Amino acid sequence: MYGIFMESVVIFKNYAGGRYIIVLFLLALLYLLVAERNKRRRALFVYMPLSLLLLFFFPIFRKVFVRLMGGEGDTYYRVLWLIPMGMIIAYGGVKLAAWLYERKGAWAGLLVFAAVGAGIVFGGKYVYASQYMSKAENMYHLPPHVIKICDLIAPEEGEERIWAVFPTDLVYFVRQYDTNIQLLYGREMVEPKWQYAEPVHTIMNHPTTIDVEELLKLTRERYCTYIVFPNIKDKGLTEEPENFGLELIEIVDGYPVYYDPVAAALIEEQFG
Amino acid sequence: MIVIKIVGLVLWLFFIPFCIGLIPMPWIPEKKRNVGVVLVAGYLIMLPLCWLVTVPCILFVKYYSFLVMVKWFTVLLAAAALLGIGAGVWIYKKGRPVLHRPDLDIGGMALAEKAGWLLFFALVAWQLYKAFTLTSFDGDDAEYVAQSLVTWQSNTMYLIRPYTGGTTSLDIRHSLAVLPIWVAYIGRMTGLHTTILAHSVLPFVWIPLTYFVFYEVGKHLLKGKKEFLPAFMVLMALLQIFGNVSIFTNETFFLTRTWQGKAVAASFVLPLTVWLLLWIFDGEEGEKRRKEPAAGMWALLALANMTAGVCTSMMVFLNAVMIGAAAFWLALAERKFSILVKAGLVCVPNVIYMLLYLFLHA
Repeated sequence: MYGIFMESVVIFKNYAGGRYIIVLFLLALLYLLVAERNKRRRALFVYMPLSLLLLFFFPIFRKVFVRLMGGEGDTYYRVLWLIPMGMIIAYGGVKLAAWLYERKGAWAGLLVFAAVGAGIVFGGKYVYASQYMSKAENMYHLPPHVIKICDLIAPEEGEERIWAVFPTDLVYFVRQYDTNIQLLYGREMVEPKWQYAEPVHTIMNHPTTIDVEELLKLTRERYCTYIVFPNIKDKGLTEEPENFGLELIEIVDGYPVYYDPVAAALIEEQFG
Repeated sequence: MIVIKIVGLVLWLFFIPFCIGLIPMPWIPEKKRNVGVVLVAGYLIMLPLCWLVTVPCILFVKYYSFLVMVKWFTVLLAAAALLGIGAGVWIYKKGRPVLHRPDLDIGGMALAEKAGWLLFFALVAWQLYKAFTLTSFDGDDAEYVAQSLVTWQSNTMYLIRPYTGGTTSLDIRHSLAVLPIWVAYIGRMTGLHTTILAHSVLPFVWIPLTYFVFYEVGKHLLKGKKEFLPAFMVLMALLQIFGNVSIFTNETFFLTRTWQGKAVAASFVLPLTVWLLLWIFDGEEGEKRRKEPAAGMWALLALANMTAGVCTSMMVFLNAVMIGAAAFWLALAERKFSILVKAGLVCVPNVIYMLLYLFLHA
């Protein structure tokens, strides 16, 4: 039980991200505990959040949650979403500002408002500075080179779907653009935390060199007609793909896109 | 072509939900009715309707289940929109206003109040601008966004793996949270690629709707002190923009994964639940409980629970936990056991959903 409790403590710390907004929340909660006279609002903005916070740290609740989620405990942080932290900070801050405004004058209210605002700005983290944010280059919000590659290889209207292999950094996006392109491995194989293994991905994900012969043995078994190799500046190949009958369609932003006529012939032979 | 798509988006994302949202208005107190309330109510009816049509189609239609879903959902939406218009006409014929005129007195506002509103709208506009011009990388999109596109392109639901395209037996884990199917439906009706819809259009729905919920919460909490409402809204907007203290917060989800079900659940459905609880219970202290019709508001709370299930299966459980915790303390505050009973009743959809989930998993 103590172990589960400590896990919840770690989850809480990770959620708070070591920033001070959480302190603002606790201060606002404390202020409302003292200053809020309306019993219904106390129920919603003081007692309910406090009891949900206790529930979050309560080991049996965590056990029930994990059980209900089919054994997955890594989403337990979402219990914290039930606590309306933002509303409590904003309400607590404005309530205090209004109280001082009426008693001490406008300057006091504005000072508290400015202090809470500054607390949020400096105690939080600007979402648009996140490492995951970048400039959108099209309405799809997908990397333009992925769109270009997909347009090169996608089947025409009425044609059969095709199988393709893409490098790890592109697999996330391909099927957000066109699901007529099927992948030998997808996101589930490339997420390190899930620790799945897939032989084609193992070859493509080799840190320095891709064994072309081994790769084609596997891709042809699975009737894969298009292979997009990783960016040429990042990774080498054991041999020239052309030596095995592959045809280079185009190099798109450093990603060589190949068509495999041998696999296409195998499909023709097998399925007509 | 673009103009037709924009007209289609306005029709399916605003006009039809608005018409549908008129349905519960006869049971909502007159002073509470406004455009935003109607639109939110419209989404709270439209999304559960989508669930009620989609899940049977997923479970019982073997081939091209999406085509069947599109047909029946369109019929239901049309009927609901007509019913809503009928409800509006009925209120009007009784001589009552369908919508309460907002008591907006810009001339009478103090300078600080005006500046507060300006700052707030600038902050929201900044978020919308960023949502359109920036892209956020999130691995879950490979499942979530691709799921809508698979549905849109293949006319099947949850039978194709979004990550690879391989066929699969029914994906039970995700198939009850049907928001990607709703996105596919809007894509089908407007002819817009579902990825453009998710990444570039839906933020213009969910971000304003969420701020409308915050506005209603603030309006309620600052009743009698409405000059402080802009301050509340500015702080709420700042909290969203600077709430990215970790990748786990609902604020981070709100602005980096706006289109995903879990973000909609965390940022829209949960605050909405708090708002409805405030609506239902929060009268002036010492004042006798208002004799306002509350049936419409309880119904909206039940619909909020169903909407949570449309967004993500987990939120069905969590929203019930929140309503349970709130009802417990409100029942103590009001000394009324009946609150627990009513809260239990509005959570019946959650129980049915969870039982179905467990049954399908077994």
